[in-house]
Amino acid sequence: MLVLTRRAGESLVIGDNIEICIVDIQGEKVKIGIMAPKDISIFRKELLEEVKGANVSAAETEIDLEALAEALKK
Amino acid sequence: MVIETKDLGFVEIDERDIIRFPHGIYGFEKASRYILLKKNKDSANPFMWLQCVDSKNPCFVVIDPGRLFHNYEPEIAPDAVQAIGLRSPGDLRLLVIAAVPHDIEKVNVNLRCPIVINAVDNIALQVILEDDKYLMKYYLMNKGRDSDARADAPGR
Repeated sequence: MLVLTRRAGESLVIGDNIEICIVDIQGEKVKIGIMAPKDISIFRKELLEEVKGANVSAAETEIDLEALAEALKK
Repeated sequence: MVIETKDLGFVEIDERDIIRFPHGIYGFEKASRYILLKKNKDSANPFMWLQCVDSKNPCFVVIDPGRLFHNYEPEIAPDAVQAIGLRSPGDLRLLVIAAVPHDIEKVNVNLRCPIVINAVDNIALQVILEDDKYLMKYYLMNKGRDSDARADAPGR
């Protein structure tokens, strides 16, 4: 991992078309601005990990679909 | 073509029904071709398998959220709409993934990360909604007669 130190107002450029800007720093929180093409998705990491975890659990499902529908009718 | 499935053994499918997921599904980025399978073709059962075509796994239980809720209206970002090449709103289909643990009472659906499908060209992707009013685990057994999809619905 490349580690750099920036001040508020400074930026990083990644590749040809991604820019990361340190917009503001307040105490423990850093406000980060990102300019990137629309086809590149940007997520808080913990949210992405949560989604992957939910999908992995769901993929482990072993169930008879008829039994599932019956159970929900009650 | 014949494919191996998680729940239904070897099944003959029509390649025209294959749904392409160019970015896969979160956690399963490499699987890009899926097909929807019903347990019994003529059944009214709304639950289906979203089965990977190229391997037995992954395979997800999915359902059209409209069969469960009267007010599930997620805002799909324009970038997602564009990514699946949607030309008309009427071509959009939604599916949500259901997780069924060993205790069937704990069955839940992921309303925060629906699958959006361009039903004309069979291109799809999973979106992560910005708005957290829809839950990643909405427990269906708590639903009772109420078909309100919102996390903050009265009585929840």
